[in-house]
Amino acid sequence: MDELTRTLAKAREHVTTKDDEVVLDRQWRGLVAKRRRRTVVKVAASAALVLLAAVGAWRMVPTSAPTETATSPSLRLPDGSMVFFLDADTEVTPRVVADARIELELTRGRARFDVSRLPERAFVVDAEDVRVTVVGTEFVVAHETDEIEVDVLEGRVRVEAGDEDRLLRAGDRARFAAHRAASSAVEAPVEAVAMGVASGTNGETASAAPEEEQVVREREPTRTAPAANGTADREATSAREEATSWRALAEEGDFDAAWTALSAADDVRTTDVDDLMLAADAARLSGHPNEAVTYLRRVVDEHTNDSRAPLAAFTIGRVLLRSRPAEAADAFERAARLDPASSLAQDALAREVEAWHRAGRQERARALAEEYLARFPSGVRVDAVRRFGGLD
Amino acid sequence: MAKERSRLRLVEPGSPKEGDPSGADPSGADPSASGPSGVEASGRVSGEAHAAIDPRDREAVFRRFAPYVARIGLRLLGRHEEIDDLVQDVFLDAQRGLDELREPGAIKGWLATVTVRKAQRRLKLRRVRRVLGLDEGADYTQVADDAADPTSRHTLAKVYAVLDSLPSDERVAWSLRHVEGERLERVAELCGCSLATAKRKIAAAHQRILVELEVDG
Repeated sequence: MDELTRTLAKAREHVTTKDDEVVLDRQWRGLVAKRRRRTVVKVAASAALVLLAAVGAWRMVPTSAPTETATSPSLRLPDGSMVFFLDADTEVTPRVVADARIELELTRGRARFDVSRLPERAFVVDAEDVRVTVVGTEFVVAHETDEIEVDVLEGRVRVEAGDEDRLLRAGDRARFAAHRAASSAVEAPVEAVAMGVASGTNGETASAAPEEEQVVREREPTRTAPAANGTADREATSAREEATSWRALAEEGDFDAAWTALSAADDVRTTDVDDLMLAADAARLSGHPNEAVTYLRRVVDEHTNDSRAPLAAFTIGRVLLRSRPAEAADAFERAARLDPASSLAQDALAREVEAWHRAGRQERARALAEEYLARFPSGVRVDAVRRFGGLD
Repeated sequence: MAKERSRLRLVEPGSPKEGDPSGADPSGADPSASGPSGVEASGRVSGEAHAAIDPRDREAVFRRFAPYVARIGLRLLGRHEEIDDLVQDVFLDAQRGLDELREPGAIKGWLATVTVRKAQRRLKLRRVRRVLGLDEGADYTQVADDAADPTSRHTLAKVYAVLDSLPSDERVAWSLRHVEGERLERVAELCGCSLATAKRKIAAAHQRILVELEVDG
C-alpha cells in the first residue's frame, strides 16, 4: 500500500456531509419542487408532441427528418453552434475554442453537431483517426467500437480518414475505420456495411479479418519479416523475447531488469506512445535519466497532439530540474502550453519558477511567480512559488 | 486524436509496488476494509436493516438514504455546493427503479448506482465547462470536515485538485476505490464496466495522481 492510499484510508472519513434535519428538509423541499417542474415540462412536451403529430398528419409531409431526437443542446459554443449528446455516455471534449477555429473531440457515444455558418471559422470534430471538417451544417458523428459513422443532415462536410479525403453532402452517411491502420479496409457507404452485416456472420468476419491482420502487422513488425537464414531467424526470435521481457518487467515494476532487457532489445516502437512512455519509465527509474529524456522528447516532439505529451514534457522538467534547470524550465513551459486547462499546467508554472531560480534567472523566476500568484491565488504551491520567486 | 492510455508507473526501486495496475493494494490490504460505506460487494445491505422501509414510500426512502447519497456524491464530486442538486436529481431519477424494487435491502445499492451515473455526467460537463473557461475550479480545502487534521485536509485538497484534470470515468473509478473504499468488484459494477477495465482505470488515475502529488513533495 503506498503512502497516498494509507493517507486516504485515514482521511476519507472526513469527506462527509452534514446529515441533520435542516439539510434533509432543504433537500426534500428542493426535490418536491423539482418533481413539480418536471411534471409541468412533461405535460407541455406531450402536448407539443400531440400538436406536432397533428400538424404532420395534416400536411402529409414525408418524414425525411433526422432520426436523432435530442431536444436541448448539451453544449453551446461561443459561436452559437450547438452539440446534442445522443447517448447517455457521450463524451465530447473541446480542444480549441477560438474565433478562428473550434476543435472538438468525440471520444465516446454519438453526438449531433449543429454548426453556425461562419465561413471564417473552421469547425473540426475528431473521433479517433477520423476528422470531420465543416463550414456550416448539421451532422451526426457516432463513435462505435471500431468505426466512426458520419451522417450529414444539412450542408456539406469534409471527412479525412487515413489516406481518404471525402466530401459528404446532405443525406450522405458513411462509416470509416476508427483507426488509421485499417481505414481503407472498412470505409464504405453505410448501405454497403449494412448489407454486410445483414448477410450474417460471414459478412462481418470477412471485413474484420483484414483489419485485424493489419493491426497485428503494425504492432509487431518483426513477426512478418522474412528471415534471411537460420541465424537471423534465431536472432529475430531472441529479439522478440527480449522485447516481451522488458515490457513485462517494466509493467511489473522491475525497472533495473527492464532497462537491461531494453538495452539488449533496443526495439522501442517510436510510433507507439505507450511504448515510449514505458521505456522512459524503465530508463528513469533504473537511474538513466538522460536516456529517459530521449524517449520523453520523442513523445513531446513527434506526438505533440497526444494527451500524454504534456505529462511527458512535465516529466522531462522534473528529470532535468537539478542538473539542467534552464532546459527543465523550457520543458515545464511546454507542458503548460500543451495542456493549459489542466492542473498540470498550474504545477508546471510553479515548477518553472523553481527551475529559473535554480538556473540563476531570478528576474524571470520572479515574473513567473507573480503570474502564478495572480492566476492561482489559492494554488497548492503558493508557498514554494513565493520562495523561489523571491517574493517572501 | 489518440486516447489517453498512460502506462507511466511510479513505483520507485526499493519501494513497495504501489502502482499495482490491478488497483489493489499489493499488501493485500483492502481500502474497503476500513471504509465507512458498509455496503456489501453486491451493493446490497442487509434486509434486516431496512426491512421497515417500503421502497415506494418516497419520503421515508429519501430521509433514510439522502445522507448516504450525499456522502457518495461529495466523495465523487468534491464540491459541497453541488450536493443538494445531485441528491435531488438522484431521487428523481431513481424513483422508477425504486417503484419496481421488491426487496428493501436493494434500495441502497440502486441509489448508489444512480448516484454514480449522475455524478459521472456532472463531471463530464464540468470538464467541458472548464475547457471553455466556465468553471474556475473550487477551494478543495473545504472538502474535508472540521474534524480533519491539517495533513488530511491538505492531502485531500491536492487530490481533488488533481482529480479535476482526469477523465471522468477514471476519476469515478478511482474515487469509488480509494475515497469511498469500495471493493474492486463493486467499483466495476457501479461503473458499468468489466473488472479488468475498472482496475485499469483505477491504476491510470492513481499513477497520474502520484505524479502530480510527487511534485509537491
